[in-house]
Amino acid sequence: MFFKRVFFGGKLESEVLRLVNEHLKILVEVCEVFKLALERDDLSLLKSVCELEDEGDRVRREIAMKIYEGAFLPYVRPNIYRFAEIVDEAIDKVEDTAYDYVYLKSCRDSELLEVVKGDLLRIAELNLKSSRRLMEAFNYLVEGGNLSEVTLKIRVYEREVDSIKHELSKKIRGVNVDVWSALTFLDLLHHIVSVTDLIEDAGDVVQIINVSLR
Amino acid sequence: MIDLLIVLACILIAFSIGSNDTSNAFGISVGCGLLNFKTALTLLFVLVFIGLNVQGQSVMRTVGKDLVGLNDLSLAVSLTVASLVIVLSNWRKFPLSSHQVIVGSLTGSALSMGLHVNYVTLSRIVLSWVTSPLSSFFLAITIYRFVEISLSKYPFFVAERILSALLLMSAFLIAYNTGANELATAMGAVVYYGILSPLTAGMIGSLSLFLGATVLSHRVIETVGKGITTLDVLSGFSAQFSAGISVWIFTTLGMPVSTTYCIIGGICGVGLLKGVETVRFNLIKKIFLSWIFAPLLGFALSFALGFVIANI
Repeated sequence: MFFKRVFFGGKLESEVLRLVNEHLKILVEVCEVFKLALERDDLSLLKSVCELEDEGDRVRREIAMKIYEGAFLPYVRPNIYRFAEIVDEAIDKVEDTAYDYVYLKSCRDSELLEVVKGDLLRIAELNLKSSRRLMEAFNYLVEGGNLSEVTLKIRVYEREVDSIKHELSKKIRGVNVDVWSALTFLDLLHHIVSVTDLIEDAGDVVQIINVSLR
Repeated sequence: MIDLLIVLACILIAFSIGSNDTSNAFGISVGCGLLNFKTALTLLFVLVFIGLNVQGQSVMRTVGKDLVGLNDLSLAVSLTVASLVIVLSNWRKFPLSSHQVIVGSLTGSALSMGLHVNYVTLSRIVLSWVTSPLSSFFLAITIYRFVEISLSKYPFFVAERILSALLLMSAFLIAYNTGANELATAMGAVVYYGILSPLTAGMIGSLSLFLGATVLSHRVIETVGKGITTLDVLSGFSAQFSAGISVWIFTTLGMPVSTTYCIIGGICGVGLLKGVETVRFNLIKKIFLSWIFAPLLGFALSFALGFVIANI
């Protein structure tokens, strides 16, 4: 049994890899659904975001259990779990953003949303692209590939998101809105930009995992 | 009666080897979760038995036939002293190399009783104690570089599996050497003096070693398994595997050498590769002192006891 596990990769290891892949698919899907909801202004789609977030939590817990049961060499375990935690945090942030969006829509000065919607869509698009790149990066750990190139692309997306955030911060200073609208928008902005931040962190962890046995 | 004392001393030495040196073979693998403790013990028993029966003859011959002339008394004195020194040093948490204590004791008792000592064989053995950690040192550097370059060509999770397999392979080699070298050193004199047949010695020695490993090695294995986390997996593997190859080469040459010293040599090699500041020279000084102290202690005690008994 242990020969099979050592030489051909054990059931636990395969299971963790499958779960991490599933987790990343959830991240991509949640980013996709949020972007679609924003484009179509479809609040019903935002419910799916919450459902996906629950699913993400379940997968993270399963990853933790499998790692605790002894998947992979001890050196690798903390980084794989750290990776799963960051991915989960990114999914949480998309859910927070979805809630903020609903709150902002219910605020008195909902015209603020019209001013910033284009930029938010650009950020949502970049979040989606980053999540796809992250999935690619993790697959490179399994199948091989140019990891540095992919993580570099994630960093570029993150910088782009950062610059949009600064543009937006300047832009909204000219808009006359009530306090609640402004506060809700700031929360939304904070949450939506932290998705790429977290994906960038997850990309760094992938790089760390990649060099951890060398 | 005296034969029983001799066999008991051998059993005690084998028991100590099991309690103390099992971690050399399976500490990392158990610590990494590649094997559970029970599987490690079973594998240890099987590999030790195979090692002793397949390749143990050459080391047994050097220790039991070529090194010194033997009689009942010299054998009883040397093995009793050796077993007590090994057990007490383990108990005081200052483990000494069983090879060095046994060789020192056999030489001391033989000299005290006017028996023949083959100084050429003794010199070869001492020379092998110097060269075996050194060979492990250079091998560890070569293995580290080779595996590092080879693994970099594979995706991470494939490399991780390969490294796991290599760790296990290295553990098997060390377990095999434990039988072919360490246990052979302990059983060589009784086999060549004709007290036990090689097969009986193999069974008794392997079982005593297995018992020592079962009863007392768990904590040592845990310490090594957890302690190794300060050493990365590749360095740990390089040090262990280089020691395995070194001991195997010296076993083929019939020389009783210490796996522990070879592993230390390997760790120093990898440490030096990563920067001289990572090597703890104070610890090396202590190990070096114990390297000098172990055979001298065995020699002095056996010589003194043998001298007293021979003159009564």
